[in-house]
Amino acid sequence: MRPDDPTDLPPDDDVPAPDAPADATERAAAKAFAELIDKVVAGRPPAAVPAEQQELLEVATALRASVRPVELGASRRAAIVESALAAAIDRRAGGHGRVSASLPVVPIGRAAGRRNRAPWIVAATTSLVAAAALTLWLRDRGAERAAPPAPVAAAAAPLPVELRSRPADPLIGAIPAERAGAALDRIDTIYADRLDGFRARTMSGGLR
Amino acid sequence: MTSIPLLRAWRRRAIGLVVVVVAALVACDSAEDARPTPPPAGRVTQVTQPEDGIDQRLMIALSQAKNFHHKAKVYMSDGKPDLAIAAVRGVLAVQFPAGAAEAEDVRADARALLAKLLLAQGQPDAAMSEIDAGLAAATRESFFVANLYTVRGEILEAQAATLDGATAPADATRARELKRQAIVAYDKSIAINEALQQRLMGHP
Repeated sequence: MRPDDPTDLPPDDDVPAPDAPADATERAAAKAFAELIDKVVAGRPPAAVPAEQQELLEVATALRASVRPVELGASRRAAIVESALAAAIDRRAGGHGRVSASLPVVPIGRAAGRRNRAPWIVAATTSLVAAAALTLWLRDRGAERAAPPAPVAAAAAPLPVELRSRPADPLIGAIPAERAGAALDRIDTIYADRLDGFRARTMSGGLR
Repeated sequence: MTSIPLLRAWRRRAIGLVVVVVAALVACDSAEDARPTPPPAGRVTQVTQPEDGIDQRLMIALSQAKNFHHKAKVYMSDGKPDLAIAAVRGVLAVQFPAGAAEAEDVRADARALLAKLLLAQGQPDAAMSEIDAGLAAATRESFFVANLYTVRGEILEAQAATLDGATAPADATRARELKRQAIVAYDKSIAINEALQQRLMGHP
């Protein structure tokens, strides 16, 4: 038998056989250890733990972590990531483990808050823009309906009298009885007057 | 991992917002359409119609009427009253632009001249028919309509004059009636002239 032989185990007089039923002492020890693990998991570890139980406790914690990954709280997780990012940024900036004051590091919690508010900000802004557009649209429609037809009137302003077809009464006046048959003179007068209007209208570009 | 739910939430909110905006627009538009249509306001100006202005068609019509009158004068000076009457009838056949106010005046004046020519040719009944046709076609009172009444009075006066020498009591009665109608026609002409002159001078 060599001294460094791993199979060189001490005599197992006090080690029960694997299939042997647990006695009262063994069950009490197991119960105490279970309570210890519960306290550690609950975050209430005892002030002092015997060395033998400390080793067992570490093994049990490792086993539990491997079987059921521990999920950190959001604040705890954010704090860890934030500290890691700050450390990385500070290292890149040549610092010594502290966050550089020149770099704007936004806390993750605040960023998450902004991210949560962003949809509402976008929705509110969109609503305001839509309401403004709707208001302008309705105001324009109302103004269009209520506005006097000034542009139409300006565009379709009546022609001056002298450029329009009109009764010849003002031009001819009352016809004396002795001039009742002088239609030739009157048609000459009417024609000359309307020719002046026609030329004026043509000169002004009113006729194409 | 967290971006997909966030995008889905955004998408839901965006769809909801679009639905709300579209519903608001539809509601507002429906409300606008549901409003009672206001009565048409009085026109500020009268829209100029193409036929209102003096154009080439009107000038051509006036030129034709003018030429017919000159032909009639030439025929009259040449002792050809029948051709003169035919020339004046040509004035009545001139096509004026629709709505041209000068058309009624020119035609009324042509009928007055035609009536005088017919009367001079011893055709008082034909002359009176022209006067009646001119008065029937008149749509407004004018100096030309007044002139038609004047010529009507002349025709009636001439008809009465032909009966002045008659000895039959019926003819004498007929002559008196014609003179009375002539006076009525002259009075009508005077009344129209006075009303038009008052109107042109700005009096109501």
